[in-house]
Amino acid sequence: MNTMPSGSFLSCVHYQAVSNSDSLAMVSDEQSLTYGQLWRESDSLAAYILDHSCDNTAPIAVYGHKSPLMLVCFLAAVKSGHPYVPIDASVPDSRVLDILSQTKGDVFAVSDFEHPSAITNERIREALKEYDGRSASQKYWVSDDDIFYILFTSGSTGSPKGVKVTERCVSRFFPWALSLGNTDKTGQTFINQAPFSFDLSVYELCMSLASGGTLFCLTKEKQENSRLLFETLAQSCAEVWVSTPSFADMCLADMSFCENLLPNLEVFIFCGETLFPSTARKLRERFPDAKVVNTYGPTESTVAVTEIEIDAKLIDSGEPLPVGFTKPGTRILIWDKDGKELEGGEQGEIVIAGDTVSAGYYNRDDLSNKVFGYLADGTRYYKTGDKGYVDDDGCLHYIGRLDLQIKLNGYRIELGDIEKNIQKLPYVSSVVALPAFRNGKISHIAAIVCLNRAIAESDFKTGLRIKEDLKETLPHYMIPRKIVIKESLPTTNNGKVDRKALQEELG
Amino acid sequence: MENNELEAAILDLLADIAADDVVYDERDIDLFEAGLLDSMAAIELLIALECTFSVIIAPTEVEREEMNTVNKIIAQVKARM
Repeated sequence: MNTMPSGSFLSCVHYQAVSNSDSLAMVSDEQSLTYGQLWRESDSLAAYILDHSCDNTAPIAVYGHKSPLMLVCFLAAVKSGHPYVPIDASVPDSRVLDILSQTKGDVFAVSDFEHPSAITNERIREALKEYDGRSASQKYWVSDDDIFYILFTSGSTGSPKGVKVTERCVSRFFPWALSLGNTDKTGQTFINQAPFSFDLSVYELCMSLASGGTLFCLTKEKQENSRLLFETLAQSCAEVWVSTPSFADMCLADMSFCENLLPNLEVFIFCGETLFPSTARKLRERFPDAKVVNTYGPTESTVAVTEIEIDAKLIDSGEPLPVGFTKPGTRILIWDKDGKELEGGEQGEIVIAGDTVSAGYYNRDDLSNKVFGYLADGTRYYKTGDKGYVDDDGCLHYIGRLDLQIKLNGYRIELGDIEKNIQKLPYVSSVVALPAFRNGKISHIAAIVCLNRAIAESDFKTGLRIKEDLKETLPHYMIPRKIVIKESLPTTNNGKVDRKALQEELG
Repeated sequence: MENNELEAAILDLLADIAADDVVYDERDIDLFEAGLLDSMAAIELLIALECTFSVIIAPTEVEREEMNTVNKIIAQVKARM
C-alpha cells in the first residue's frame, strides 16, 4: 500500500507522479492519461504559460468537456501561478463570453471556442511538444492564499459570479474528503458525474489525484443514454461514487443498478442537494456492502464541510436526513437575521466559519462584502443563505433557502438569473420564475410570462420560441420546462409581484 | 383496459410530468427538443408507467429516439401490455 505525504495538494500529486507514474490518473471515454503524462505535460504547458502570459496571476479559463487535456491545463495553470476557471462545453456561448469578460485572461479552448484570446487545442498540443522536458520552477506554484480555481455559479443579477478558492482551501479540503466513510481510498477509481464547472467535481478530482487514484469520467454523451451509461459503469470497477442524489435516483430507476454492476463499490458520497431517505434506502438494499455518506456545503466553502454516514436507523426515523458533522477546521454557526448567534437548536441562517471558506467573488467586492466576513477571533466566515439548525448532538440539519435560490437535479440556480434573462427578450414585458413540485421535490422550473406583443399563434408555440431563445443565454438546466403566458401578474398590497399567489396557482 | 382509456391515461400521466396540456394535441413533437422532457423527467415517466400500468421499461432497454414523442410512448406501452 502507498503511504501518502501530508502537505499541499500539488505536492501530493507530484508524489504520485514520481512513485506511480504509470498509473492512470484519468479515464474519459476512449481517452486516458497516466500520472507521469499528467505531470510532464502540465510542466511543459506551465513553462509555455510563463513565456507567453503578460499578467502573471490572471485566471486561465479552460473550456471543454471532461477531456484529459483539461486536467493538464488545470495543473499547468496552478504550476505557473494562475488560478484556473473550468468551463464546461455545455455552457451557452453568451454565458462563456460573460465569464471571459470577467476573467480577462487567456482561455485554453480544449474544445473549439471562437475568441480573440483563445488558445486552440492544436496550439496547446504544439506547445506541449515545443516545451517538452521544460517546467516551471516550484516558486511559481500557487500556494497558501493564492487562488487555485475560480468557479462561476448562477448569480441573481443575471450574470454568473466567480467563487475564488485558495490553495489552502483545497489542501485543507481533500484530506477530509478522503476520510469520508472511513474507507482507504488509496489508488482507487472515482466516478465523476458532474461537469468540471460544477464544484461537486472538485470532490473526486482532488481525492483521486491526491491519493493516486483514477478519475473515471461519465461524459455527457454517456449520461444521456442509459444503456451506454451502464456499460461504462460496468467497465469502471469503481470503488468511490460521487454524484448528486438526482443522478443516483436516475440510475436506481433501472433494476440492474446494483452491486453486480459495481462489485467493488465501497462508498457513495452525495452533495449538491437534499438526499432523500428513499434514495438512501434503495442504495443500501442494492449495495449492501457500500456506505452512503451525505455531505453539505456551498461552492463558497470548497465543496463540502459536513458529513454523516446514513445508516438504517436514520433512514427509518421518518425524519429528513441530517447533513451531519463539521470537518476539522470548520465551525457551523446559526444566526438570526440581525447576525446574532442562536443556540439550543433554534432555526436560523447557516453560517460557515473556518479554513476552507472562499476568498470571495472575483472582482465583485460589492457581492462579497454582503456575505463574507471575519469573526471576532479572525476566522473567515460565509453566510450561506441556507436555513437550518444544529441539534443536541452537534449535527447540522438543512431546511431550505432563505432567498430565491433553488437546487434542481443538483444544479444551483438563482431564479433571479432566469428572470433577468427572460426579461431581456424584446417581446417580454414581465416575468416570474418559480419552482414546480412533484411528490414533494422540485421537478422543474415554471416561468409565468407577460408579453408586450404576440410572437406566435398559440401559447405553446410562444413557449417553444421563448425556450429556443433562452438557449442562447442560459444553460439547459436553467430553461423553464413550463411557460405560462398571462395578461398580467398579480400584485400584493404594496404593489410587488405576488410570488406566493403564483406559486399556489402553480401547485 | 380499452385502447382509448389506456391512451387517455397515458396522456394524463404525460401532461402531469411534462407540466403541459399540449401533449394532448401535439402527439408527434419531439418532447425533448420542445423542452417538455429531460433525462430526469424521462426516468420519472418510466417509473410512473410502471406504477400505473405495471409496464416495466428499463431505462437501459430503450433509446431516447424510441420514446421521444407522445405517439411513440403510447406505442411502447401498448407493445408491452
